[in-house]
Amino acid sequence: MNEMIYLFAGYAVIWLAAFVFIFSMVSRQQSLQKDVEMLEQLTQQKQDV
Amino acid sequence: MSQNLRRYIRKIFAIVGKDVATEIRTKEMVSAMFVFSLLIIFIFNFTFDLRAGNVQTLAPGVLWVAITFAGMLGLSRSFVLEHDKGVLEGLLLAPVDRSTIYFGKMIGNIIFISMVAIVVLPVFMIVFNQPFTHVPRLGGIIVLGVIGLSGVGTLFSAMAVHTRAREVLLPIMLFPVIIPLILAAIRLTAAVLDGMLFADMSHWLTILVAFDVIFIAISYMLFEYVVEE
Amino acid sequence: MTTKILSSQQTKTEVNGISFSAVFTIFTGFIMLTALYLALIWAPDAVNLLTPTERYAQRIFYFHVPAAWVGFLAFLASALFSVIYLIKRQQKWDAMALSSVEVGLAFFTMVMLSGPIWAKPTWNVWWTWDPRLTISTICWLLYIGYIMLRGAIDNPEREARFAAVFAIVSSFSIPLNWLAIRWWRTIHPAIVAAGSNDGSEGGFGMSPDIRNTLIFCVVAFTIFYINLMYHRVKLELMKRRVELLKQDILYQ
Repeated sequence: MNEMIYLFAGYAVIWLAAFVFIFSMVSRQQSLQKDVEMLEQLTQQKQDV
Repeated sequence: MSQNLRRYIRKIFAIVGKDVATEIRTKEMVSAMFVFSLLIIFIFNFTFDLRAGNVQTLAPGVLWVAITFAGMLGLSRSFVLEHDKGVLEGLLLAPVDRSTIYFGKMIGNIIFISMVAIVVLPVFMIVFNQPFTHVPRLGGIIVLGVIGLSGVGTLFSAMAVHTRAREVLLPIMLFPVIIPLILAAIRLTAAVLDGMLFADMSHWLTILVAFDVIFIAISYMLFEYVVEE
Repeated sequence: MTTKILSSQQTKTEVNGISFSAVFTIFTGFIMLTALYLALIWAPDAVNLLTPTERYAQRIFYFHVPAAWVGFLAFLASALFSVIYLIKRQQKWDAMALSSVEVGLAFFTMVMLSGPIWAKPTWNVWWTWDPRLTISTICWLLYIGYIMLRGAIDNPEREARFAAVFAIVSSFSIPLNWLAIRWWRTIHPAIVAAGSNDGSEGGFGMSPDIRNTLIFCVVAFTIFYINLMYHRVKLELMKRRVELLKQDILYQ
């Protein structure tokens, strides 16, 4: 097992980097979604007035 | 030489003249760069504890760190006046091609940085105990290096002046790009100091010249996109 | 009016987009898992490496090399998108250039992290100033400079313009950097130049199965890159649209 530690670490960091990037995209998407919802509410209010 | 080319060159040198006249009056930039590069040489002397044994391997690096860092200092100020005092708007309104502004600023930068380097060089030769017979060839290498540094540095300086971080951003953009230039210049300087034949180092000379030509051409083409508006 | 724009755009992406995007993403995931299986289990051991630690660590290269390939590809692509942006001045090209740099940065980070982990058992050091390592670091720094430059400019149009100029200039510096650093010194195994690996330490012969696995991984990573680009560009364009709407609604 000890012999595989470098192999494991190598693949771990590669996948970690990929997932960090993907999660950053997901979180940006979510904050964008929030903005869109807020804008929708705002326009709704404006139309109601 | 055709009439148009002569007129074009005259316009370029009008811009160079403006920068040189400003500099002669204030003496701000060149003196700061000069003192800064001397300080770098002295600091390196202490940090590496330079002695006869290791000076031959370290001296070229010290010289080029001094030149590039001092050059960076000058380049970062290159467009500050243009930006803050509205000089750039004046230049853009003038009936000249955008590229004349680029070449004018670039030649100005080359003059200032080379001047500093040429004055620092004798000091460098004295403190590191190098024979003065190397000066002409080193001067040639320095001029070639400074041309490349100013070629791309002028373009980036025009960009950096519009950013919030300004002086901070210029080295971050410029250093990764000029690494081949620094490597070639250091190898050539070492070759001269070691008394090697230039023929053995011709591939580094090729890189240095290629860098100058390629980056001046690209910067010339891209400069109009930087100053438009 | 604005609500109509918003909702119509949303349904559009949902009807056309989701199905295609979902299929493409699942396909990419499947390809990447296959690549992982080939690299870890299917590929044979490199025969000429002595210790088992070294033999296991060698398998990092199936993901390390494709990641580096994608990193350079992304850089080249962003330079091309930047040129097109400067000519056509359409937002989408700028969005693509930015996305390509960001995705490339992610891949280069993989390279920078996995490289030392391979180098430690093979060369017995985490880091050497070897040309390929150095050039990867320089690319990584250029990418970061690009992101920092964009972050430091307030005017979006100027941001796009300057970023494009920087991407083009830095793409020209890569080959020169490559040449200069290679002449400076080298110990990295030249794996791609098959047959002549005995000279560099840590090099190994490429048996057909090893080569096929590597080729599959390169293709898989390229598909991964395209998929990430697809999502990132979509996100960027949506972000800009929302930004515009925000200004429209809030500052009316």
